[in-house]
Amino acid sequence: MAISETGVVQSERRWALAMAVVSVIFLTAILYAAIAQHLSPPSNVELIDPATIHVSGEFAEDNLGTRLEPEGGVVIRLVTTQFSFVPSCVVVPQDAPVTFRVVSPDVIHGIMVVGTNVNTMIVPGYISRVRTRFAEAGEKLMPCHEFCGLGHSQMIAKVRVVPVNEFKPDADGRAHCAEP
Amino acid sequence: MPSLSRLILAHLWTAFAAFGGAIILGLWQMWVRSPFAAPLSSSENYFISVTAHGSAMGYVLTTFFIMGFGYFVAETALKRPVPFPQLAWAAFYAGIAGVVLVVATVISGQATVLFTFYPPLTASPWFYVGLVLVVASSWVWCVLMLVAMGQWKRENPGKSVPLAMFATAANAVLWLWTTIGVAAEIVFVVLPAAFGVTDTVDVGLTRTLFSWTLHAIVYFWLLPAYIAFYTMAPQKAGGRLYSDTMARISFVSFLIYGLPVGLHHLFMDPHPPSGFKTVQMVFTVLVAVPTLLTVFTVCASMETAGRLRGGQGLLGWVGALPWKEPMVLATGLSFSMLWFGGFGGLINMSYGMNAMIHNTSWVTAHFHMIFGGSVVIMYFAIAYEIWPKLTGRKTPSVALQRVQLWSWAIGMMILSLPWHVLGLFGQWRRVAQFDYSDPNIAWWSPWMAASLLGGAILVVSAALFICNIARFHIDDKKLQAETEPMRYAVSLHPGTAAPAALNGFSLWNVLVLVLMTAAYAVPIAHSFVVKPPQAQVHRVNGQ
Amino acid sequence: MDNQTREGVGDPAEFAAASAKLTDVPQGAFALAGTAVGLLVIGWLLVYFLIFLPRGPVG
Repeated sequence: MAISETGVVQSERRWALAMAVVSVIFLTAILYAAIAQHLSPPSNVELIDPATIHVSGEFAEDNLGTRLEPEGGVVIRLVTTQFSFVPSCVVVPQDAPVTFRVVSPDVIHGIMVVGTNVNTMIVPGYISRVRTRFAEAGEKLMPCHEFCGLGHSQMIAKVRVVPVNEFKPDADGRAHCAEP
Repeated sequence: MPSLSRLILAHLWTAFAAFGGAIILGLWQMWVRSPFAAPLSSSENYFISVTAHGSAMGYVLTTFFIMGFGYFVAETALKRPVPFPQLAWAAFYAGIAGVVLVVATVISGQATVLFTFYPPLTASPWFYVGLVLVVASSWVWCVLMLVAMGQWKRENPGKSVPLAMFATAANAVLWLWTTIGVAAEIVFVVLPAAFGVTDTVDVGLTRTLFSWTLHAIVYFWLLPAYIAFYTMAPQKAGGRLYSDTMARISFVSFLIYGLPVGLHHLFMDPHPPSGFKTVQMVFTVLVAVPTLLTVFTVCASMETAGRLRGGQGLLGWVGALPWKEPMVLATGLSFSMLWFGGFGGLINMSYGMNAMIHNTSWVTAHFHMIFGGSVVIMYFAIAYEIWPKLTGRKTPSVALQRVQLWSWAIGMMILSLPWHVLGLFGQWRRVAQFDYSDPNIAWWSPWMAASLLGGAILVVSAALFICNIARFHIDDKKLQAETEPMRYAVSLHPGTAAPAALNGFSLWNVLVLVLMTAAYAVPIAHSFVVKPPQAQVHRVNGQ
Repeated sequence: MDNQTREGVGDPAEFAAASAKLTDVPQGAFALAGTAVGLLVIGWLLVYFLIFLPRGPVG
């Protein structure tokens, strides 16, 4: 005889239970990564007026790029705009906690650092913030990965990760790429 | 022949005509991105093509196919005429007017904003008007589906709505809920900006509203494929649907869990707070469940077919299935691609893991596999199944249909699998030209060439599909008359009526309202309470 | 569910006779779907440990 109606229900329950176990495996791994390994989607609700970014304040041109802040901590400030990164090359120390702070004065852009988990959208009106730690030295591509207009394909920056002893900020804490 | 055959065929031909044009553009796009020089390869042309390809595949192929198939199900599963056919025709023409506006504005370079059209990039207002017309036309379809189901229920008190219609109505309810987001975005923010009434937009708000639509829309696209899995494949295989109840639970689960999770498309956006992102992730895990349930139930249904045909042992039933039947073949091929598509989707949803692949080619490869592959191959199979009923002619060549289905699946695998690899190892999205002299990029060449080959196979397969369905329309004495009525799968235990909760949507609409409020009220209110700075409108055609 | 008893796959009486062949259902489905989902979980865990975690923190 074919399986009875009760049998069908029981088998579907068994399967659903197995799928619940699978879901718990995923959830556990995800939450472990988020909490213990500091691996979660970056969020930051900090507002900024796109129209006045260049004019003054944190993202004025002379304050962009990498800086070892007076209070400690390495912060990299970038402006993403149609169609370039300002600056288009940044240098960061290896194996140290660093924070990217990125804004857009015009349209939506997005950044990722190839080979790492650094990834975020740059939404006009908000300051995007990504905290990470680069384990490997080397030159990494940082493209704009969201369509921002016809020049989107050419919008790529570089992140130079240098060993700590080669990371030499000036008196003001600023470090620049040796050549563009 | 169903009385609405002309209307249904009008919808389906619109869908597949858009598909045919779009797939040629898709191949050209892969060529432009590849290491091989392609003709007419300017950035402007490339992004016009991406906009046209995405809009045609994501908005026209899907909406018109789903509407046409829905009218077919409403008539054949309920065995009664669809109410208000004049309204249905009027809606069709409104939809066509919308398509004309979209095509005209995109081709003339006035709407190069891609199918996601993220403000503040702003196209010609007529592009958005066109999209609104297509959506409004589909709303008429939704209402007609619900009216048809309601009328049948009044005429058949105490009986279960046939599963194919219940699922179609669930899809209609889903679509009504999900289009609210994009409709609000267009009507209240984007159109005023496009018409020049406002000159700034709140970008966070538009992204949030669009995300409302952006996830459940893929379930709108996918549910017809699942209708075929549950109600057509077991029938064609010669078996029974293992559990009608489980099928209903799956469709209802998509409605409840598919709608509130749109914010997971904003995992990488700064403005949704982490708490919301975590809740979204948990719900997204829940929306994986109806697919996992479907996989088991459909396997069990096909198992009844295989064993009835003499299949022995634990897996002998697989080989015993009638793989010569296009619907059965398509289901097997669809499930194969669903493994990869599901794998990609699970990675995308996994919170921190999303950072690994957001806006890389992994995402593009994923939705080509799961939508272009698993879902669209079932659209083909459904077309092959219903075209004889619509034209009154028997299928001229089942073998050619099988060749087309195989070539589609093979082409999709070759297109998409290398593309997944490239995305995982750094290739980012929406790029017209790559600099292959850069050592970081040079290693992509053979993978890009492979994907390009996959795309070429898909174009050939698409042409064969169009030929296969066009064949039915040639007034050829060689084609025999189709006399078989449409048959849907019978349940293994057909006796019991479905409970009221699985025979209607009142309860689920309340639950959806609660969940949508919980998911979206605060993120949307944020824009009005906090009033974030707005961005200047950026017109794409340099007005 | 009561809607298709006279259509679809054969006569209900015939089906009852043939259903002796269905005693093993759904063991085959458990095997096939179970293997597929099992491979899915393994694949996900491989990406998790070998690619995702080594790429470093983000947040």
